[in-house]
Amino acid sequence: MERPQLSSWQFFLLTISHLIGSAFFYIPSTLVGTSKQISWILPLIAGAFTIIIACLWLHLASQYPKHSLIQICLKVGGKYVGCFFALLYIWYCLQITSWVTRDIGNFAKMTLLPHTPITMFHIMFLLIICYASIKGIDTIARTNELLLPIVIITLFILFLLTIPDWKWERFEPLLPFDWNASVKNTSNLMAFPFFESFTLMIIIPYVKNKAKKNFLLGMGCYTLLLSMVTFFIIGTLGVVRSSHAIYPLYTIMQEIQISPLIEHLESTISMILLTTIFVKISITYYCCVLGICQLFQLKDRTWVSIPLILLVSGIAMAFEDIVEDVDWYNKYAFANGALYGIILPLILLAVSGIRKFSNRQKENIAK
Amino acid sequence: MRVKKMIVVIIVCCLTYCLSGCWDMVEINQLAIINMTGIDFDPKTKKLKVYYHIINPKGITAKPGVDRAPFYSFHVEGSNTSQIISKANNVIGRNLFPDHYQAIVVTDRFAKAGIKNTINFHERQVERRSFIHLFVTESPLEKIMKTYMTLDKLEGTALRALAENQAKEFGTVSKFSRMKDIAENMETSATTFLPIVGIQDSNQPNAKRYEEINANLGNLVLTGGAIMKKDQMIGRLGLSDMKSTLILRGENERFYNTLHSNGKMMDIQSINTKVNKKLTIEDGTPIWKVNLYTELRILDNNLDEPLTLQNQNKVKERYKKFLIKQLIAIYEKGKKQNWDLFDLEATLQRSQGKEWKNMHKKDSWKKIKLDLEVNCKFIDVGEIIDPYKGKGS
Repeated sequence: MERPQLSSWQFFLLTISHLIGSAFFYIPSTLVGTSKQISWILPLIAGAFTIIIACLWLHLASQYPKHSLIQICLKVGGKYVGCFFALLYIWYCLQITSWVTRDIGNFAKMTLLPHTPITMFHIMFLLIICYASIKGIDTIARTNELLLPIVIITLFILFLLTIPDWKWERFEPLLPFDWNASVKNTSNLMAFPFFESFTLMIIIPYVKNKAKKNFLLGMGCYTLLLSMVTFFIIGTLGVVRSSHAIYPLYTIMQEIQISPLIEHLESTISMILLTTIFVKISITYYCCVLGICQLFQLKDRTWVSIPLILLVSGIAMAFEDIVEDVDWYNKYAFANGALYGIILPLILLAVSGIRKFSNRQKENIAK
Repeated sequence: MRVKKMIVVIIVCCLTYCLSGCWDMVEINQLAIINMTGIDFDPKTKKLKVYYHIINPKGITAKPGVDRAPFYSFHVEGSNTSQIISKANNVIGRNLFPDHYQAIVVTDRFAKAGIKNTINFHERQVERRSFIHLFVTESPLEKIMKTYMTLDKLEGTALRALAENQAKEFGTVSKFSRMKDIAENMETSATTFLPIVGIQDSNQPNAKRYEEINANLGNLVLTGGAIMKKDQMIGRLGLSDMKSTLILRGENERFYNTLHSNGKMMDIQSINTKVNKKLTIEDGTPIWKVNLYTELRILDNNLDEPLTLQNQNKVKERYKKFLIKQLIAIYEKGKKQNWDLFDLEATLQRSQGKEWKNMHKKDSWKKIKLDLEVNCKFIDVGEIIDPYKGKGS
């Protein structure tokens, strides 16, 4: 198998894109719905907590340099337990890929092409993703290097166009707010999308230098971006309408009116969503394929990538509709995310520590 | 290698058949493009009557005439939305296409009963237009929906232009009378003002207006503003009250006033109006401090004396007093009628702290006193500084 090399800048952009995915499109509505005017603060809190937890992940990675997450699992857990752990992480990648694929399906069906079967979006999208994953992470990284700046600049221009609708009164009153709901929101936010970035540990060995710094920096930048998007949504759309809309950002773009002739700019935001989701799914799909290849020591990714399309598009249909998706997110997102983002890394760290300690003991006895 | 490329090209060509055009194909000839919708609710039968203005593309390009009407008005009656949509399709015979509609008109009795369902239905639609203006009519809806406008061929487009022009230039229509504004205020105590339209000088629906030179006859005209609290109409204001309300709310940057003095008059246009509002509490009494600044243009000067710095200052003082009197009058009228025209209840709710604790009751906003200060300066006196004196001098 080839050994690609990612520059620190590419990895920084990949981290941001992986986190952006579909989250900045879906999350603000849920946040504003319960935490009202203070909801823009929650991403900052969730981001800060996750950065602390990410230090744990990076500590684990630093103990096994040049090893991917799957290889770390095998090294720490041994043949059987390690294999089980690795399978869990491959499943996690598969889960994320399927959910995000479903997100794009839901969005496209609801807003762009209501009569087209949702599976058609999934399969068409996954075919391109499959092609990207066969080409490798360096191709995905280069594509992302080109697309992400365009996405950010377009988003910024669109924000500027909505300034006439801005009202500061929409941020009042700041208090009182529902503490319980805010804590729950923050924890869910940590799970989706922050904990999902743990899957990037599969590609971290391919980063030439400053991987840790750029990973944390990427997280920090995304945290600020999500907070800014939520802040912007409150200021432009208001708490009431944002909390009722499924896609508040889409609604805002729909209502841009530069003149009676230039209005309805929602297709621009649809393109942004398609781009960010493409990069996110490409990364997780690639991680999934690479994980399987590393676990079963396969050399050619192609024959893993192609059948995975059917598996992903099948799992993507697990939720009946968006209501079930939102319900699952509210009830189980944190528990699911914490398993892969906190519990398993802690177990791996603990076992690794015990192994190192016992090895040292053995060495001492041998001396 | 060549064979491999050929296979890829063939696969890509085959995949194009899976593209969305197969399912979401739209034929323009199969669409009933809606330009305007009218909704009435009959409290006796509990039925909705919905009118659609469906654009006739041939009529838009042709010269106006009865056989080439720019739009046709269809109406259907039903108890709920699904009934109305299915009945509409029975009558129209094409798929309703709401993406390009320009205005919605509801009757005052429907607005008084509450338009929550309409707003929810509208907000649910992905292809909706939330920046279109919502109008209320006191005239029979049938007449409104069966009238042609003169200069604009489409009534919806004409009404939208009317509302936007009024909001921008004359301040008798709130620029926040769009669908999205009323949706935003649905769960707060904020007030929305919707323009009221009626038919001028006509008792009959008038579809032959192109043949009538008197454009006023049967024309749609703005008659006032409907006060909406959440989704319900709670009262109405005349055009001059609407103007004053919007000035004090800070939504009206341009407006006209006439000053009278010793039988002479001066027309003044206010432009670039800025309003600073602050709610404070002094000795347990809430005070709403409003500082209004406006720039003045003399439109018509019929005073018998040349404009000097001295009498210009006099005019300025008189104008300030006049404006203060006008604005205090509407403020008191709102209180008297129990209309929270200036969203004071919401402002009170937002005020946090010990001193505001007793002010969060429902009617506490009525205790608020208005402290109004007006500042203005002349920026345009026109081409003549000394008006001509004629016979009447």
